[in-house]
Amino acid sequence: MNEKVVIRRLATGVPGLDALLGGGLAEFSFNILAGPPGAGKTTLAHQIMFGLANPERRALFFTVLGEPSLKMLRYQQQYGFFDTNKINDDSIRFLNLGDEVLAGDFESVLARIVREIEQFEPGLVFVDSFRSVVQAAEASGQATALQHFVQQLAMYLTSWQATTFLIGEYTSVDGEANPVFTIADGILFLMQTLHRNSMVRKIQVAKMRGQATIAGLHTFRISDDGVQVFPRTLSTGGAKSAAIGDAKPSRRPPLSMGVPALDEMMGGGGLPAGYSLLIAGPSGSGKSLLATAFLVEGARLGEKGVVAAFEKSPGQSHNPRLDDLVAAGHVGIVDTRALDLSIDETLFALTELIERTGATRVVIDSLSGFELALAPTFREDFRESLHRMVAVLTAMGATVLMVSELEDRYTDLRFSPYGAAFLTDAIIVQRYVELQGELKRVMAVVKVRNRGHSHALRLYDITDDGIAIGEPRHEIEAFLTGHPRPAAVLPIAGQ
Amino acid sequence: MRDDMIKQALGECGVDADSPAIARATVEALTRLLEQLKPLVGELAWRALYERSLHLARSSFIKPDVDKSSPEDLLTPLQQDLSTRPPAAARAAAEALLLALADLLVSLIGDPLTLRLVHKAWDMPAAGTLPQEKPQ
Repeated sequence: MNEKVVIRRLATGVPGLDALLGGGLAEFSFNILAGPPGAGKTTLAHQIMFGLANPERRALFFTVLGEPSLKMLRYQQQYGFFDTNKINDDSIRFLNLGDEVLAGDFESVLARIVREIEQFEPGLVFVDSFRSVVQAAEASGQATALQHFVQQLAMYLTSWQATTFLIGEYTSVDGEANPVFTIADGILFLMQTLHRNSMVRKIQVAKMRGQATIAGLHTFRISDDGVQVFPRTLSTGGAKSAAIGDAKPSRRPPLSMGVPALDEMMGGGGLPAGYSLLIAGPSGSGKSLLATAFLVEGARLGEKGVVAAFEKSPGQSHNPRLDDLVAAGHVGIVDTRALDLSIDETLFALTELIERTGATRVVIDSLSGFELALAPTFREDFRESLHRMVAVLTAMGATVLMVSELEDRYTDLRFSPYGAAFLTDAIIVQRYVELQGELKRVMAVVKVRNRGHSHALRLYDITDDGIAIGEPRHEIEAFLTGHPRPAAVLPIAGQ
Repeated sequence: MRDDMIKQALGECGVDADSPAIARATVEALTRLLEQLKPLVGELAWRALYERSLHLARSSFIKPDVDKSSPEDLLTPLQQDLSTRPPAAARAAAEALLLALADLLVSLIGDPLTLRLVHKAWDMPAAGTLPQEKPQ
């Protein structure tokens, strides 16, 4: 017989938050939503309330001395989650406690709260802003009375079987020895940081009794739909691209690159399924064209694709083949126009699109564009974040192709300015060379993990039909110096 | 339609009602709306809304002195003011004030929420929406 109490988890209705909380909010828990002004506390509280409240689980929202209720109602209505039909009806009731708090009599405040709760019988209780109560107590020298008040309130609401949220303006939850924090079952700390010209919102589950949360800071965004959290350690919940199912990548055939000669160079058949491939080369070398060929070939075989295009927005791609794929529904585009993205937000958009469309081919074009689209604060961890992104996408069963802009250098051989080469399973490098008075392009397969592949440097042209790879030119050497010359020793026949 | 709602709110006093009856009906309509609004927005906000409505309806009658003691007492000068007017003028002033308050609420918290509060306060069936507010 299992004698442990079963704590129900309430789905908050805030995208991403339940994953952060380890499955939702504990029913009857006593929680603090803390953070500085403008962090999004009231918006988050409202979103949770409108998501959870119904005639069977009513919500009582006490406003105190913070944001005037009139303003709060006026501005919160702008969010998609706000449902006027629930207000002052059987689901949500707002009540103003300003008069009682101003009087500084916490016995009266508690009595009023108890009276209203007994009358309305809510399953959810919100007090906004609780910091106002604290300040009123400090101003009237009643700090001890406040602590007593909080303890009584917490005990009363837990016994009443209400899930409670105290919303307060606290600048940190670490440095403050606050009785409220000690009593609370859960503390969600919201913050916004300004780095150079970009503002980034972050949330931290500083405390959540009895459940395993995802530690650390996680980004979130407030849009017309309200708060959306992007957990840093993104759990796909074992989700796979629908087109893949449970099939192991090693059991699936390689994915053709859409350029037969390149498929041969990669060991026959193309890129192994579930691999990540880095295509590195200078501007104009045909990286995006190769990525498009990869998607076109997928479309031809009935495989869906997803593109995160950071260099150009979808309407400006100047790539009619890609436009056609998008228009025909073969390829989905991730909107990357914001300049304050986080890796997690991009990863969320990618995984959501992969799950929705069943895509198996993913293109990230390009890493340098991606880095520029990130808020500056995330650029410092770009390499680590890239590793996480590739791991998540390939774990979903997707085959990932990343494009990396690389300035030609003829004195050393590099594959990515981000040290991303070791993160990937395969690398194709493209370069410009001067040959017989013309600027030519060469391509080579540098690496395909656990697979034999060609080591030849092959000249190629970009034609109206795509990429045309020439035959190996064993009679020429020193391509990588940028100035090829006739080979000193001709290869032995058959090698 | 908003005019109809205001007329309905004052409907307890018939077309032949005298000024004191119109004044009582006006205060009753405001008191019932206050009961809905005060818990939602607090007493300070209610006072501010009432005073702003008086200001907006000022062309219809002289603004009565506002008593600061309590929200209920706030309405006493209004009742006295309306009671001393000819019935037609009292009714016009009352309607102008209630309309100004409804318009003000619509502009601040929106049509659906205002409608919900007004319907509950004045026992009206919940249907339709308030028309656009009048240009000032």
